[in-house]
Amino acid sequence: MYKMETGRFGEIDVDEEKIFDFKNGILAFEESKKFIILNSAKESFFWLQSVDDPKLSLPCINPDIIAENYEVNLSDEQFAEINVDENSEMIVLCVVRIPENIRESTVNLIAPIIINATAKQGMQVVMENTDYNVRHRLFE
Amino acid sequence: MLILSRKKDDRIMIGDDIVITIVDCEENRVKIGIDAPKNVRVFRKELLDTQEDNRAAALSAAEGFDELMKTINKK
Repeated sequence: MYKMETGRFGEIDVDEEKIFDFKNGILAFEESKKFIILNSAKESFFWLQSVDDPKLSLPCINPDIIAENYEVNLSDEQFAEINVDENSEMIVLCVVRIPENIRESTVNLIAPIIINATAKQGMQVVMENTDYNVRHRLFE
Repeated sequence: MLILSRKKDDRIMIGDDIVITIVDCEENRVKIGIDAPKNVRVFRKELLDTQEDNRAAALSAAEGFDELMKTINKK
């Protein structure tokens, strides 16, 4: 455990055991390779906090609260990128974009953040062969 | 916008060196092959939109996220 000064949350405790390696970063932030998940005040709402860029954090939600039976549709090769096997414990988060008017908020269902918690590896993939889109509105 | 009707294996030329091939066509999905010079960058639009939205998400105010949690009536 060590302390890190973040841009958004001030000083936080980082548990090395809970750092996930993103070998390709995430889209638009390819140089950021290590992330942790910070809990928020509410279940299903999280911050994906970069460890190598303390200023970088993205609000995310568990997509299940928005899309019933949310389906991650990836090829075996894509799952192999983060060494997923039948015993892997998986975490799936979707990035939320929150404009000034929060009723315009959208969640990116086509490009989930997928984490193999067992192998401590993660990636963001823009899925193919899916009907989800980039800007799914949180409010009608 | 130019709209063309094409069938499987038909091709479209864009300029002198970009060739679009309709590889396969199902009810809801079209498979497209693109031959283009290396300096022409070809992306799925969702990828660019995801980059843009990741940047926007990183700039989202924490207060907005707090407000969102209160407004969304699910756990």
